[in-house]
Amino acid sequence: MSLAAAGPPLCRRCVASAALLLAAVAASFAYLELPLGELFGGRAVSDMARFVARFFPPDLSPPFLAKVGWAALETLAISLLGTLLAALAGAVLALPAAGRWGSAARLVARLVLNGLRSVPELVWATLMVLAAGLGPFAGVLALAAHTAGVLGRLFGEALENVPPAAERSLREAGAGSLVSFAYATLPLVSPQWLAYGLYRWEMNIRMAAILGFVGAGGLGTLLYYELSLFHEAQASTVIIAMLLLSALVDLASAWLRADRPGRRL
Amino acid sequence: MAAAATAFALHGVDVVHRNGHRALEGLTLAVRHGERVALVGPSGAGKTTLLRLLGLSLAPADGRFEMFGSDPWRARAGELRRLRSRIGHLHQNPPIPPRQRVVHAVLAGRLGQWPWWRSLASLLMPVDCQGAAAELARLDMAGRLFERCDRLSGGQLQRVALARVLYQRPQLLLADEPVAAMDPALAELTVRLLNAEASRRGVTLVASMHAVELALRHFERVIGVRGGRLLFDLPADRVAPGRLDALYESDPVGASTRPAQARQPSPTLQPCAVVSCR
Repeated sequence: MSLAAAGPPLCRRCVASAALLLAAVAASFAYLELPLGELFGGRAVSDMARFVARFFPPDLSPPFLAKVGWAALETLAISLLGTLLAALAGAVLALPAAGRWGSAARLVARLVLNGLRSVPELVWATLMVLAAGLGPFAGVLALAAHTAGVLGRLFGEALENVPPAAERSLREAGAGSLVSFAYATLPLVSPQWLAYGLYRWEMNIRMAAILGFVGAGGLGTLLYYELSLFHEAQASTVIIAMLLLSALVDLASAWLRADRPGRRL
Repeated sequence: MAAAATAFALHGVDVVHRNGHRALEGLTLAVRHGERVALVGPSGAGKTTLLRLLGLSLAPADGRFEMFGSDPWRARAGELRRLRSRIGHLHQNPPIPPRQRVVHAVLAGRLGQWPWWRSLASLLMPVDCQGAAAELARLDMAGRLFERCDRLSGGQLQRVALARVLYQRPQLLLADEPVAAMDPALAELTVRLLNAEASRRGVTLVASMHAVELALRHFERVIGVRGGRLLFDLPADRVAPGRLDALYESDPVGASTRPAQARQPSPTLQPCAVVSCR
């Protein structure tokens, strides 16, 4: 009762965190020497408007549209191949990561997955461009490397949550481990694996558009090229193509995953 | 003597679980090919352990154990797998993935006999639809070949599991409480079907049964297990009620002491698991 009369206790932690955050923001402005006034001043707004205006109208001439179309297809192909490779590698790594081949293999597989996953796609792409040269192949490898780490972990967790009775009953009747897996465990995890794969593909299409900035092919490369030549009209077409591609992917993904049980994302 | 006629034999077999619990003690037992045996006894008596021993999932700690005339735990890995492929299992809950088609669930019975590439190819294009259809037709499940298993009722799924184990063509069929989760009518039907199919094909059948009355009515031979020991091993028509009372009598000292067979059966303690089907 005395507690209720005193009201809820002051959240000292909240006050401390808020004060810390404010101090950090102020310190950041000071350190970067950002002129706060100019950011919201009249000059900035009119400069911004003039910059945006240069992007209109977008270049809709047929030859350029064709070029953008091919680049969009390239982006799509990069994401598809990258995700497929990643799903294959992820599935192979998920088996030891779920502890099916002993605890030593499990530790190694988890370390590998962690390593793959903790390097971002853009960093992978820069590395792959150095290793495999400029172009879409580097993009595919970069997406595959990072996504394999993500999917391997998700696939492995799905595997760990599957009841073992179905597979054990086939082993009891003398079936080998690969065959038992294919008949008992795979049908149990496949809806979830498919949902994870589709979700990552959707993310990878967007990522593939950006990867071009470091020379890994697709729409990104085109955008980078046009922007560095200050061809704003062409750059604007490319950006619109990226937006359209994203919207398309959203729609397709929603439709594909609409009636699948086990979707969680 | 008639070694060829013996399906399996145990001589003084002990099974010790990893936690040190002695689940079976000094078990001596021989079953001929084609016999139909029911295992009865209270919970924790060691029925499931015995079935897992017979299913070659558990190795005995002591004693001699022969399956189909050879010692499975001295055989090489390939030989052990071949022995396992001759043993079929029926579970209380059919271990079939819900999204699998009936045809694959049935054909899975022979995965231990097929080479791996044939098994995998069958997932893309079922290799023996006729064989699966024939087993299903006998169990009144014709026309359900391409149905998904999660569209079936519990009783139908149990029949798919039975079709799978019959399609395996095992020489020994082990069933662990196959009807414990069923209503009395379905349990009666399933036990009758199981026995009819086993005797039609000359398959040795060993089933642990909770429903003693059902066991007495359908099996040839009844084995009572209690505290990891054999209490009785009799033809079904010679199991006297006193035996069952001793088997299920509650024992304040614990199941590890051997209940005296001559102990007077107390009239108040009925075997709790007897299911009346009428």
